[in-house]
Amino acid sequence: MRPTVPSTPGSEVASDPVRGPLREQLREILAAQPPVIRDDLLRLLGRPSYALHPDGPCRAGMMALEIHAAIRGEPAGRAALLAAAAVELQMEAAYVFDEVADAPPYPERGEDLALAIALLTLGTAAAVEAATGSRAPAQTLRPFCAAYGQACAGQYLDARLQRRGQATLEEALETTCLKSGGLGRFVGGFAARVAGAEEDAALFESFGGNLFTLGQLVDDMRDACAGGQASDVSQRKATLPVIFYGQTVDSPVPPGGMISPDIQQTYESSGAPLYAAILAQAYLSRAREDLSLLTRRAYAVGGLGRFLERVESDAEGILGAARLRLVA
Amino acid sequence: MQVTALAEALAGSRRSDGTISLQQLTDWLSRAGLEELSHALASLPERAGLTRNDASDGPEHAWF
Repeated sequence: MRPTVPSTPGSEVASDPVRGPLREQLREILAAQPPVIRDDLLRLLGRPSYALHPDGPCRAGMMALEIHAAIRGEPAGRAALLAAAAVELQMEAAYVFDEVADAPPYPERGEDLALAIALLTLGTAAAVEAATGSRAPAQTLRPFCAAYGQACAGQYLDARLQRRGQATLEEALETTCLKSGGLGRFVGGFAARVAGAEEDAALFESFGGNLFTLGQLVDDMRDACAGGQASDVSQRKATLPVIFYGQTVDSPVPPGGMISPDIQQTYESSGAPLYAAILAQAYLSRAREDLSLLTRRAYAVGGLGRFLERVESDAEGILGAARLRLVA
Repeated sequence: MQVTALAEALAGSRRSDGTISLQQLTDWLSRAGLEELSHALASLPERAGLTRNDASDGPEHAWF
């Protein structure tokens, strides 16, 4: 994986009033880097699905900004933008690491790992600056590091299970909750503490954890048979739907890693999509309950609610499709 | 989350033609005390108007 798409700075602050300032903040952070790595970092984050691409979802940073709005009820200032940029950079670092970990060895792997570490460090530096203005900077930063450590533990477990094989459903759930749920808790808790809601940070953490776990489960459903040899079924990834599929009596390994229509049919008839959809829906319900609790505690969760609705809307098709095997 | 119990419930609700009985699955989950999963099953979006493409289209790195 090498970054090849240039970033496209411009007047997007006006065109995208939430992502625009976040991206400007990210560019400002990257601009201070030595030229030898700065341009590759900008190109990396300008690739499709990454933060500086026009269609990049910036989920971590966006959720951080919505949490700030829920707590403070005012436009994001520098500290909130830095906090959002910090969590976005940490998540982008995790993306890069994930890509490297999933790919076979390739010549530029060392450079890509260096880019991931650079993003991680820049994110931490931004977090330190964001926390400086909070009531208790050390108490804000300690959970930041601890929560990101959970996500790292999830990455580690994911890699270990992939090497070992024969993962159990419980192990896959633990991986999902650490790797992705941990990132969500990390984003929610840090954004809440920087905005001054230390007493309710655990609730924002819970919301983020449940939402990101939902997102991961939906991704796992989408990736099970998509992408041919790169599909999760072909690679026997340790995801919940793939492990469920592997435990059914007739779940052949695709010859040559290719997903034939028969293999896809077998996967769908195994009940694996429905299995994962029920779990995803349960995490969606948990996130909704968290949001209700936040509402009762008088937080202005309108933006956060719309964020959740967008996630629901994105997931609706694949969750509904999982009902295809159900009969009354 | 009771992931193994849910897997057992699905296996126990499978019919010989490969379909899964909504009623049997709901009953199984309720008997096992898995109310959260039972509610999740009941809350799944309706399938009307969906196509198989819904299961494969989507942005890379939507979350992770």
